[in-house]
Amino acid sequence: MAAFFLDLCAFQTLAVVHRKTIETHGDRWLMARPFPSSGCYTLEEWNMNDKVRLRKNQRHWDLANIQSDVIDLIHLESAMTALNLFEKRQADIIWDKTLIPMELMDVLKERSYVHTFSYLATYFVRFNVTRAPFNDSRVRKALTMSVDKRRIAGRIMKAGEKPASTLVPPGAADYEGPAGLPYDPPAARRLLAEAGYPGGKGFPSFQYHSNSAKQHEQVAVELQAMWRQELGIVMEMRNVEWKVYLADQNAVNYELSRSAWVGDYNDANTFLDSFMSQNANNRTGWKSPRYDALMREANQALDRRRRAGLLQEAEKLLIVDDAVLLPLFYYAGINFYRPEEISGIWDNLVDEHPLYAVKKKRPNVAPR
Amino acid sequence: MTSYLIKRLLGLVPLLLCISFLSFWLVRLAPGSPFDRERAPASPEIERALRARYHQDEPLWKQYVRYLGALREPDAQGRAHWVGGGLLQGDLGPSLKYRNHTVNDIVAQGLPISMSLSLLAFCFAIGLGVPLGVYTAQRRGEWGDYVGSFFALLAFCVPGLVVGPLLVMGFALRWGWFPVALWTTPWHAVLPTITLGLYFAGRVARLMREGMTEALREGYIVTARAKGLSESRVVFRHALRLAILPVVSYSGPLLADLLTGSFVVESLFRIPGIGVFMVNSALALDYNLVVGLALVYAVLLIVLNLIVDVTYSLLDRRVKLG
Repeated sequence: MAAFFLDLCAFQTLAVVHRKTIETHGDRWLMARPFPSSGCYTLEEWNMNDKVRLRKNQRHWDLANIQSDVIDLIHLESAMTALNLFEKRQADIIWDKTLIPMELMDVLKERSYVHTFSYLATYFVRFNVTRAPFNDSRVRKALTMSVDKRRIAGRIMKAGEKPASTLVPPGAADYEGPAGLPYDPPAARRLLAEAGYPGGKGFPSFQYHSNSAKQHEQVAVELQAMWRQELGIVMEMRNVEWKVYLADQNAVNYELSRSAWVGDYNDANTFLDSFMSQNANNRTGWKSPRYDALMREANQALDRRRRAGLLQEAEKLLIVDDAVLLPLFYYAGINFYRPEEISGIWDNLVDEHPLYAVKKKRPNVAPR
Repeated sequence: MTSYLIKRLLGLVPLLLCISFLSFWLVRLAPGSPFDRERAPASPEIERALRARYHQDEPLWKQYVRYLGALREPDAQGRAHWVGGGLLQGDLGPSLKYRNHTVNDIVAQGLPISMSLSLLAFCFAIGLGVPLGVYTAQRRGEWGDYVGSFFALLAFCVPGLVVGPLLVMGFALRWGWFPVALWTTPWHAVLPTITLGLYFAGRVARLMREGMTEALREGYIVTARAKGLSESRVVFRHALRLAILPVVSYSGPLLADLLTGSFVVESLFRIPGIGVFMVNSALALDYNLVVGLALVYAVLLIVLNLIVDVTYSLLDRRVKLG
């Protein structure tokens, strides 16, 4: 039994659903009322682009401990609107990270309702290892070692993101990552020269592929400047729409591609199994039988310490020996709520907050 | 008149078929697939099954005929039967992004809201623009004209993207008179209506001022004045009928602009209308939703233009329909 089996059981893919309702209603089974739910809440209302209303499930086994009768989930697209609603107390909690106005974080950071914490997610860059010159691990290492990650984590990101040297963020259960490649521009230049491009001479200009978003563009600009300055190589940016970005990445149709991964459950496996040869999330063209063997062996290991050692060896192969990815920073989690008004939220690595525990201490006047 | 209406409405059918075919085909030219996700499905079979479920694996012509609902397919016993549903029966198909909603669900939920918002903004634009235009035309070259025309020009020049946040900052955040967003009570409609309608109020005021200035120069106005009618009677009873024609012919495109232009206001004030879907469905490559919305908007625009033409002929008897 893999060590993360219990965590996996709590993950949404294993949520219990009502078979008969699905067989009766087909695709529209979520519209069935009363909605068959085995959870603390039942779905009372779902208005597209508006709100989802959850009501306490009267038939739940632990009814006495469900703290709130009704919870409204408000659908929002704009971070500014989210902040306005929160400021005017028409929303009590902001959980979605995309609804935090990052450009205001310098000002907001000081406020007591802003909670930042370590989060099990990493921002990194994929190399397409099938395309020259990135099929040479020395080139990939040179690019990795010439990036000053503190500059990116500190200057562009505003919520306390930390520079990353590994793929698996620190804090993952029962796991200690390997030492990643260091920031060492002279060594990077030596590696690039060994690969046949002394001083960046003869190095073809290459494309950095990303979906368009302000923060990604800022990261790309920093990378572009560092690589030109440290290695004398020229990077071009290719910003595309989300769906095009996904299609290109899936088809490994890029040279360097902006990437991120959020842990599904608290275990190194959720990050590392993506890069096994047959995994559809690999998207780098990198195939390593040794890596696959290590991952398989790790997940069959009953001894936790042995398993951690095997996973660490696999990660070392991925990010140090073969340098398939360039880790940039570990994300930080951000929640907005006023602790004097809301109870039952505890910051945690996977940013999961069981709704049964959440309670508004003093229900305020209904918003106009 | 009736035969004219019937003719116009019949003309809708081939037009809608054309629009459905074009948008059906164009949206599929965009790179990417509606089923691409940041996380790949656990196996290629899942994606294949998904494609098959929504018939995305069929040749394009077959998909289109199926979309129309004009496809005959063998059933389990091998007998050919009509697949049913489809556009010809008013069924716009399932949404590929919100897979437990149909396009009809989404339109039924969002369209009334977008239409109410547009209608409110329309009334605001006419209600503010027409009096302002009449006022400035009557006082041509005086202070009232300058102030009013300046205001109209300002409204015309500043986009909703700027007006909206300013209104929210003042009236919602600072003074707390109105809610910052959402769409639940009439109070919630005030700021979005102004944001959406202000630009058009400016345009209407300018059109009205021109129209009224022209009308006041007409011979029959001189006659009316010579008869000794009061100025207000001259303006509102005689001149207005002619002066308002440019505004009437503009109100068709105006309503169309309001309907299609509500995206910014809807997302700013988080109004659960349909404008947001117009943009997001294209980005998400939700093929059925894109085509469905294109059709819904086409019908709306055509019907609105028809209403304008009819109104025009009622106001000005010199205009003959046919």
